[in-house]
Amino acid sequence: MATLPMSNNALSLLSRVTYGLNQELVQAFLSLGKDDTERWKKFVDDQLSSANFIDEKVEKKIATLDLKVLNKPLNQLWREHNLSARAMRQTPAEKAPSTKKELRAARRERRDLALEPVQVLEAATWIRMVHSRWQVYERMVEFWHDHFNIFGYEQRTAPGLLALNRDAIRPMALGNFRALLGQACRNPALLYYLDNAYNQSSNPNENFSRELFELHTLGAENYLGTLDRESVEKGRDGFVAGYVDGDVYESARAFTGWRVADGSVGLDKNTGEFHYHEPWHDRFQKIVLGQKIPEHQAPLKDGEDVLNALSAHPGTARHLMRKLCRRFVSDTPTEVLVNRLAEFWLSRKDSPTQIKDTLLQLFYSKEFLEGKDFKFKRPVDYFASLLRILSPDFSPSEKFIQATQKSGQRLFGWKTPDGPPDVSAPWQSPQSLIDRWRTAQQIIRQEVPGCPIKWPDTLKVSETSPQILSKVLFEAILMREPDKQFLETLTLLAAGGRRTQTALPTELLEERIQLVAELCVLSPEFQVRS
Amino acid sequence: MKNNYTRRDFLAASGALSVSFFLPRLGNTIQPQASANLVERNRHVLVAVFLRGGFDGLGFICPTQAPDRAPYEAARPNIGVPLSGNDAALPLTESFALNAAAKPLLPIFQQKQMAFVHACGLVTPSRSHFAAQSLVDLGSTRPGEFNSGWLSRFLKAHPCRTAAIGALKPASLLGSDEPLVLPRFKGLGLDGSPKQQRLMRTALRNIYSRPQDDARYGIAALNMLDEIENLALPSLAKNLPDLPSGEIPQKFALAAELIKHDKKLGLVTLDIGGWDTHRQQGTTGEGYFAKQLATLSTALADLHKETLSATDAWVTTIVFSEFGRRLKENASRGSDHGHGNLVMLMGSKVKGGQFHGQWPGLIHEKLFERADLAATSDLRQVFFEFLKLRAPQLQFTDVFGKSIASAQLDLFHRD
Repeated sequence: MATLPMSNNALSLLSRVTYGLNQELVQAFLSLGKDDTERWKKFVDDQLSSANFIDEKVEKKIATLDLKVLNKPLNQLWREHNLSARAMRQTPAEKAPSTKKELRAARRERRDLALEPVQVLEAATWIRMVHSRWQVYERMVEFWHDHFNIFGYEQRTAPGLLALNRDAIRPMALGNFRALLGQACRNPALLYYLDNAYNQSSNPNENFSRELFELHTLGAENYLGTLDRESVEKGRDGFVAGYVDGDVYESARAFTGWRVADGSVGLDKNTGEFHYHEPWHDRFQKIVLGQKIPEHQAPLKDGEDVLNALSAHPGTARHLMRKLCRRFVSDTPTEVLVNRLAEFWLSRKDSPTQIKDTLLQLFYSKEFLEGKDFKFKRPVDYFASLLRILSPDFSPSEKFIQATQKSGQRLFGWKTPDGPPDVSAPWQSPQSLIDRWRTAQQIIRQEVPGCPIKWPDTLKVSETSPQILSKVLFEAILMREPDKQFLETLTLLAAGGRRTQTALPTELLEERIQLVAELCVLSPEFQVRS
Repeated sequence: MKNNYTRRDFLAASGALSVSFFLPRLGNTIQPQASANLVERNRHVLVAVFLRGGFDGLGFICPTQAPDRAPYEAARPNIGVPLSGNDAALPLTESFALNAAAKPLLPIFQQKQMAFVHACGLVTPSRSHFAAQSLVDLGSTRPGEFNSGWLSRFLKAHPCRTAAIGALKPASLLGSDEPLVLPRFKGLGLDGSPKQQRLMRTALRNIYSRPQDDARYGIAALNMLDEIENLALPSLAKNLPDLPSGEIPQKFALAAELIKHDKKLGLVTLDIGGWDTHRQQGTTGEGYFAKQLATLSTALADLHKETLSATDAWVTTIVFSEFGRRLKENASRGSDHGHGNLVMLMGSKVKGGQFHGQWPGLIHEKLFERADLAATSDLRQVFFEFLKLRAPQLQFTDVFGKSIASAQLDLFHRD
C-alpha cells in the first residue's frame, strides 16, 4: 500500500470509513503502531476481522432498551406483530368504537404493534452506528440496506425487514455477494415491497425483476431500453452488452411462485416466511441475458439461474463497485478504480470473503488513500457523527427520531426502491440543510431527549475567555487546528457579537458554549467526512 | 446544561410535512374577491408538478368510443374506468371521459381553464423509473446529454425566484444556483432567540464564505433564510392556519400561499410520489389509485381557485409523469410500466376545454411494442411551450440543445 503522508490524512481516512471521529477512536488508532501507514493497515484489518462483530458494550445498551423483539424468529414476528395487528381490526374498539377518540387510540395501538419490529431495529441501528467499535462493519450493513432498500414502516414489510437485517445482511455484510443476493431475494419484505409475492405464471408481475436488474445487479447503466433481445450483442468475454425489457419479462417468469406464506390465495400456511408456490410457477423455457433456462426445472432453479447469470456478469461487478466507491471515495469515482475493483471482485466471486477482500483492496488503493473528494454527510451520517463526538451516552428517543428525519432521511424509511441518494446534491438543498442545522442546535441545547451532551474534558469551567473557549471547543469537535478566520468568527460569537476579550460572566457561559459548539457542527468542515 | 422543553414550536408538529408558517387560507374570506378578468395580471407563475412513479393516464382519462373502447375494456377488466354504474366516468368530449374520482377537475375543464395533451413521451423510450425520470428531469433525449436540469437551464437565461416543494431538490433544478425558496414546514429556520439567530447567521455566512471552501450550498441556504424574511409574511406561529392534512394537499397549499404572497416568485416545482401501482391499483371507488387521484384533483382545484382569486399573476400548472402504464392490467390487478402518457395543463392561459396533440389509439397495431400507448408528442415540446409563457422569445434550443423539436402544439393563449 502507498505511504501515508501525514496524520491529518489519517484522521480523514478514519472519518471516511466510520460514522465519525472521537477521542476514543483516535486514541485506539494511535495505539496501533508507530506510523500512520502501519496503524491504518492494522486498523482496517482489525475492523474487518471480527468473528461476529458484536460489541458487548453496545449489546448491553440495546438490551436495556427492552429490545427483545430483535431476537424473535421471523414466524414469531409475523404472528405477534402482523397477525395480531390484523386481528385488532376486528376488535370492538375498531369495529364499533363509541367515540372517534377511541377509534384513533385503537388504530394507533394497532399501528404501534405492527411497526414495532422496524422501530426497534431503527433504535438498535442508531445505537450501533453511534457506539459500536465495529464502525466499518456497521457502515457496510447500512450500505447493503440501502442497496436492497425496503420501506419498512408498513405492516406487511416490518417483520421481514428485521429478518433481512438480522439473518442476511448482518451475517453476510462482508461475505459473498451471490449468497447475500440469494437471501435478499427470498426475503418476504422484499418480495412484498417489489410485488413478487403476487407474481404468477398466468400473468407475471415484473416489478421485482425490473428492480433486480436495475438496482440490485446490472444497474440502469447497463439497460439498453426497449431493443429486441436478438439485437443485443455478446462481447468477447461471452457476456451480453446489457439487458433489455425482454430480459426483465423473462426473468419475471423465472421468479413466478416466489411468494410469502401468508395464508392468501391457495395457501393455508401463514408464517410470514418465504414460500415457493409450485402451482404459480411458469415451468416453460426462458432466455435471460442470452442464456437458456430449460423447461421443467427443479423448484427454485429458474430463479437461482437468473441470479447466477446476473451476479456473474461484469456489468454487475462494475455497478456494485461504482456504488461502493461512491460510498467511500467520491461522488464521482474514476472508472479506472471501478474497473480494477470489478476485476478483483469477479476473481473472488465464489469466495466466502469476497466483500471483505474487496474492501481491503479499496481501502489500500491509491485513489482511496489520496482521495480529496470529501463525501458530504447524509443526514443520518451527520447526526451519528455529532453524537459520537458529543453524546457518549446517547440512546434514541421518539423525539430524536422525529427531529432527525426532517432532513429527508430516516433509517429504513426511504419509500422508493432506489434507496436514499449517495451523492451530495440532494442533501445540500437549503431545506434539508437548514433542517439538519436546526436539529443539531436543538441537540446541543438539550432540547432532544436521549442525547445528553458531554462537553470535552479539555473545557475547563474556570476558563471564560471567549478566544480560549472557542479554540478548545473547535479542537475538540473538529479535531484539527482552526484557521484564522474561523477562530475569529467563533470568538466573536462567543463574545456575543462584540469584539472584546473580556472574560464571560458566569450567567452567559452556558449559552456561549452552546453557540460556539453549534457553529462548529454547522460548519462546512463538519458537513463532510474530511 | 439546563433543559428547555417548553419552547413554543419545538417538534409540536408530527411527521415531516407539518406546515404552520403560512397564512391562513384567506382566499375567500378576508381578501376581496376579484374575478379573474378584473385583476390586472402582469406576471406569470409556472407550476411544474411531476407525478413520480409512472402515473396511470389511462386510469385517469379513458376512451369512450369505438375503436378504442373495446380494446380498453378487454385489457382492463378490473382496473378500467367504467362508463356506467356508481363510478361512471364523466364525459369530457365526445371520445374521452374523466375518472369520477377526479370530479373536482371537471368544472375547470368545462370553463376552458384546463386541457390535456394526448400521448406525450420521451424520444428515447424507457421503462425504467430511474432512466425515464432522469431523461425527463434533465430534459434530454439520451443519458449523458446534459448534466443540468431543464428548469435550471431555463433559469440561467431567465432567472426568477423559484420554489421547489418537497424534502429534496428535484433533478430538474440540478445545477441551478438560484436561491430556492423551499417549502416552509413548521419551524423552518435556525433555533434560538432572534438575537442568537442573527448572530449565528452572520457567523455562518462568515465561515461559509471562506475562499478555501467549496461551500456555496451553505450560502444558498443562508440566502434562503434571508429571502424568507424578505417575504415579510405576518407572524403566523401563533395563529395556526386551517391547512389540509396529508402530504399532497399540504404541498399544494404551500404552493398557493407562496404564489399569493411572494410577488417575485416565477416558478414552483412539486414532486408527488405514490403512482407506481403494480398491484391492487384500485382505479375506482375506494381503491388506492382512486383515492390518490381524488386527493390530487382536489388539491389542483384548490390551487386553481386560490390563485385565480387572490393573486395578480397568471398561474399556469403542468402535470406530467415519466411514463404511462401498460394498457393491459397484470394479474395483481395493477399495471406495469408503459410508454406514452397524457399531460395536464391548468390555468387561464391554457387553450382549455379540449385535447391537444394526436391520439394514437388503442387498437393492437397502434400500440407501442403492441403493449403500451404510443407517444406522438415529445414531452419536451410541451415543456418548451410552457416555458415560453414567461419568456416569449425563448427558442427550443436554448433549453433542450440541438435536438429536433417536434411539431408545434399551440397549447397556450398569447397575450
